Amino acid sequence: MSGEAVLSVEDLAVRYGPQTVLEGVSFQVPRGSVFALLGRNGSGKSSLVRCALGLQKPARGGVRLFGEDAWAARRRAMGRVGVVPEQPDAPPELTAGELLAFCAPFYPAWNDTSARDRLERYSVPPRVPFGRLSKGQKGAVMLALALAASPELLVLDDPTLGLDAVARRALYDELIGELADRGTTALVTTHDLDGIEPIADRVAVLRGAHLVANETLDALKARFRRIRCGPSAAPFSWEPFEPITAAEKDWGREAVVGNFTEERLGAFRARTVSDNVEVVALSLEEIFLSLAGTAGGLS
Amino acid sequence: MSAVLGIARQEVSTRRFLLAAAAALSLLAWALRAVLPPGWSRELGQSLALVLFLAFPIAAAIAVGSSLVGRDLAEGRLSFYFSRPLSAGALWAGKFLGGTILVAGAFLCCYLPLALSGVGIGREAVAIWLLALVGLMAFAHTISSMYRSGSRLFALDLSLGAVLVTVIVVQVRHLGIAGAGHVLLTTAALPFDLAVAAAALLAAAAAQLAYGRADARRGHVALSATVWTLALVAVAALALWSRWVLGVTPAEVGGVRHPLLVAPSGSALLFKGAPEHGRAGFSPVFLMDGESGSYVRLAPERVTFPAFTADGSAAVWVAPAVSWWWYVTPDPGLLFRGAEARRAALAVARLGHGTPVVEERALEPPDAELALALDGDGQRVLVSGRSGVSLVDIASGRLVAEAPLSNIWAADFLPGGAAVRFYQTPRDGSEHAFVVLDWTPKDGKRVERARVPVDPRVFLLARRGDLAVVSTGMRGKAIIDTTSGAVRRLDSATDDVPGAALVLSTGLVALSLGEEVRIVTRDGDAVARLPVEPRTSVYALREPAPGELAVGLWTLSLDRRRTVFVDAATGTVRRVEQGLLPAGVRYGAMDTQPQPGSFASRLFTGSRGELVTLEPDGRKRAIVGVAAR
Repeated sequence: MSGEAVLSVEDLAVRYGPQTVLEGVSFQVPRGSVFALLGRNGSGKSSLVRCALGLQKPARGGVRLFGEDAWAARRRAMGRVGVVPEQPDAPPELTAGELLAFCAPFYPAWNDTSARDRLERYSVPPRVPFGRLSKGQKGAVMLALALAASPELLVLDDPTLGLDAVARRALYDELIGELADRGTTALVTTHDLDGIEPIADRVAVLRGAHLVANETLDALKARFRRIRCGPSAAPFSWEPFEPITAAEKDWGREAVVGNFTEERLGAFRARTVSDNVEVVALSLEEIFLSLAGTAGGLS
Repeated sequence: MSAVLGIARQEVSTRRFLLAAAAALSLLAWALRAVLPPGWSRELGQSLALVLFLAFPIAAAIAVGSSLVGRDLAEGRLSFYFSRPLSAGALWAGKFLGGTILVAGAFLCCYLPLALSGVGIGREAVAIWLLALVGLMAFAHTISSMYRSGSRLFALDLSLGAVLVTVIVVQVRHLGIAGAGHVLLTTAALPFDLAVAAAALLAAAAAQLAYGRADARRGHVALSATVWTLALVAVAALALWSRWVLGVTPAEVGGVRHPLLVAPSGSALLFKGAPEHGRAGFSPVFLMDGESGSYVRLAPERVTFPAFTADGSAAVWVAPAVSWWWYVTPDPGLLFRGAEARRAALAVARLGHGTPVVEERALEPPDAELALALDGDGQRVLVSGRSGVSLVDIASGRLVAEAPLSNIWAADFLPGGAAVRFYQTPRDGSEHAFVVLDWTPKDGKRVERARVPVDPRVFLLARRGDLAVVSTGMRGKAIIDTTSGAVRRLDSATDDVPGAALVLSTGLVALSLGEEVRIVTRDGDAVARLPVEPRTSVYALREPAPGELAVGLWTLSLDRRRTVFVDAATGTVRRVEQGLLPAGVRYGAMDTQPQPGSFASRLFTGSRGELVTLEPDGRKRAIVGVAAR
């Protein structure tokens, strides 16, 4: 992975009338990385993706794709980008074969053979109009179209939405294969945290129109822990930790902290009367819940 | 370019059922001709083909236009195209090229059976249809995109659309009332209008895709901004253009067209004239004071032949009820049958005081068609209609009296105004006759003053006082003395060309007979003869000064047309004016003879249609046309 940014989001703001969807969002997607953009429904992930693809003009700030403004240089940039949208958007009347034939002339590095192989692997009927395919088949067609262009950047906007476990697994396998073979950079927005965790290099989390996390997955996982303490009669404090969530239990206390280090744990142990301190590593989903889920509600 | 063609191909491919449906329906219409019994199969086939020709392409244009981009926009599929290395311009061009191919293809499929069954509409009409369909497709796209964006801006669009329609109606009405409504629909203007509208809507679609891309609302803003900006420009241009079209002046008139009518006294003249260098082909009727040059423009369709008072101080004509939309409806008779029942008005022009003033009055007789005569003080007018003649009080438009008289050549109020003299060819028997008839409106009494057997090619050539001159066709010319009822026939062997005649102020009669102009007494005795060379005909006779006869001689060669001025008492030639002919000659010479020495008697037409007067001192004064500038 080199340090060069394929995609650079700078102070991005998106508004729909009085509603602010994104505000002051900045991050970079380094070349060769798999960048997972996480957030709850309505957190602005798709708006950010649309801005990144030059489909939507932001209210403020901008996105640079391969060093150029994504809005101004969209056409040039799209020749190097493969897109799998949240809702498969291909013309419903065209068959998978017709879609391949339609897209092929636009890309200089189009790989028709691999695309057709992929469609065969996914058992996508070549003569059935796109609109009549199943959700999984539509996703497969969109992925085949995106990968056939031999893109430098792959943008996947919630690609597993609505897919069953088998289709989800197949999609990730395909993605892993592609990434391993060509070192393609990927920007993935998803709610499937278990699926993305094994392949993501970097993670960014959107909450309340703002970016609340943006770092490598390793770093993120290293600083998040769940800490449990047994009952203690003495006055208690979580210092030097800064708990994101904290709760009193009948067996003691529990907190999720976002600034975990071994040094802080040592200091905490030294200050805590109870000997019964348990430290548990968190999965990406648990970290995401602690970061994005504290506001409560369903949306 | 390949991207444009690729998208166009995709659009055509996904909607190919439209072409198939058009072809199938065309075949159905065509097959009906063979299947149905002879006699009505052709009519039914043609009717079906006509309905198909009109309805299917229109439906196809609306369907294609509303789904071309609008459906992708509504279903969030535009992002598919914008996620490819495709420019907005290529997407726009490809989409609308595909749409145009579909619409044009559907049209041609539908038109073929019509053309093959011999009801073709011509290349120009085909081109206009195609332009209209492309415009309709672009219009459907615009409405569809505005509606499908889900933006509140659509309400503003609807309001602005209503305002636009109102403004255009006002503009067209303005043109229509002035008699220039047709300029919007001329073969030159209509394709231009359609092309401008289609181009504006297509430009708006381009702005929508370039500025909005996959963002429906942002695209809507661009679409609306472009549409309404261009609409504002178009309305302003239409207003300026209308002003320019209607601003035609007599000074621009290249040549005077028929009709040209001149008051027997005074200096008023009424003529139709087209500007030499265009103004969209608008040819108004000018009512002009020849001495001062002041004028008013009149809508040609609302001017019929006027009747002037003897002193030329007023003119009256029947102004047919022509609605302003008459010009812009394909068949007003079919669409607006009610309009036919609308009554004509009476137009009254006050003359002789600079710019003529025209007012319209109600007219009671429902079938009035033509003003025949005005009484001396301009209070009453005699109008003819389909069922007879009516005497109408001008101030109130009320019917004073009526008589079931038809086929009237001319009518005059007799001195005192109590009776009217008619010159008519009644169709009440097998024998064709020319009759002079006096009618007293007060008691309805009719007295026949003279009756002359004629053949169908009869013409009233001149009338003045108690004398009238008639060309009776192959039976020669005749002088009718309405006091005694005596008829003097002259040279029954003359040719069948109507020729010309004039009753001179001295009581003599000048008339063309064969290859001469003869001046005779009321008894037909020759006073003087003026030979006319072969291949020259007598165009008109005038009395530009008392006792002087002007003989207009017409030849095929423009250079040899001339007017010869002679002493009416002796036939001695005084002078010749090359290239000029007496003006204001109406077919059949039904107008009142100009007074000797009047403006009308001195008015002449040049070879290019220009009007000049010959002043008493011999100078020529340009009135209208090239020489007047």
